[in-house]
Amino acid sequence: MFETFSSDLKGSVQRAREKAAASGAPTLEAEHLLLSLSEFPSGPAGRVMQRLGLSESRVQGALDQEFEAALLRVGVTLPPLADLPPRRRERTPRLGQSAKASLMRTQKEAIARGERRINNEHLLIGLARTRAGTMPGLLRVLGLTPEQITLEVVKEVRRG
Amino acid sequence: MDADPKTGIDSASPLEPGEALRSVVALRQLADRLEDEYVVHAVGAGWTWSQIADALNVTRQAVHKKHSPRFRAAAP
Repeated sequence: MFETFSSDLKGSVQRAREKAAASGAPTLEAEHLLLSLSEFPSGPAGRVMQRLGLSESRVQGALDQEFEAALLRVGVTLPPLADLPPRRRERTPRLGQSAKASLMRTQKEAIARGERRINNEHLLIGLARTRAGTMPGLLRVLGLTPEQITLEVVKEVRRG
Repeated sequence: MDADPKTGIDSASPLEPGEALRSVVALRQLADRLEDEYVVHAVGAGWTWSQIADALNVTRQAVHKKHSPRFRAAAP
């Protein structure tokens, strides 16, 4: 799967892996890939993230809200938690299910557009269209839809 | 309310499956965070790894492997 990834996209996956490790997450998930794009990498994906105001702190804040909402739906109020340092894990996080789903969608996006090189802009669309994990709830908190993000990316790519 | 008396699930307004399953994962994540916090408290209160393991219903090896790196990192 990785042989057609551009070096920019490989860089995004690598930064996502580092973010997952730093937060003590056992696996690299879709939200870590989005956090990686929230550093505004050069190219259309970074520009769309910037235009939508999806900075790292905004995405992180929305993730916290999504977590709280997911608990509240089943009647659990988030208790006050101590600000503990994250768990140190021996191995670097492997790809989790939601990240795998996102990367499959990313690949499909590029193929559907007849592009051989899979890039960050395809990843952004792939993430927006991921139905597993935190992404749907996260977009709801951010007030965005998959269609809206896709449209923004397509416009930005055309603009060049 | 049309909650099933056995399961307590309200069939009139069930959660959408994606949302419901995401909530299950969020509960697991919350349980992990609480475990981290309360193990730190227990160690601070002088509990042994064996006592903590018994209370968490896991083996002493499991709890030690999971939580001791945090204490090694904090040690001077």
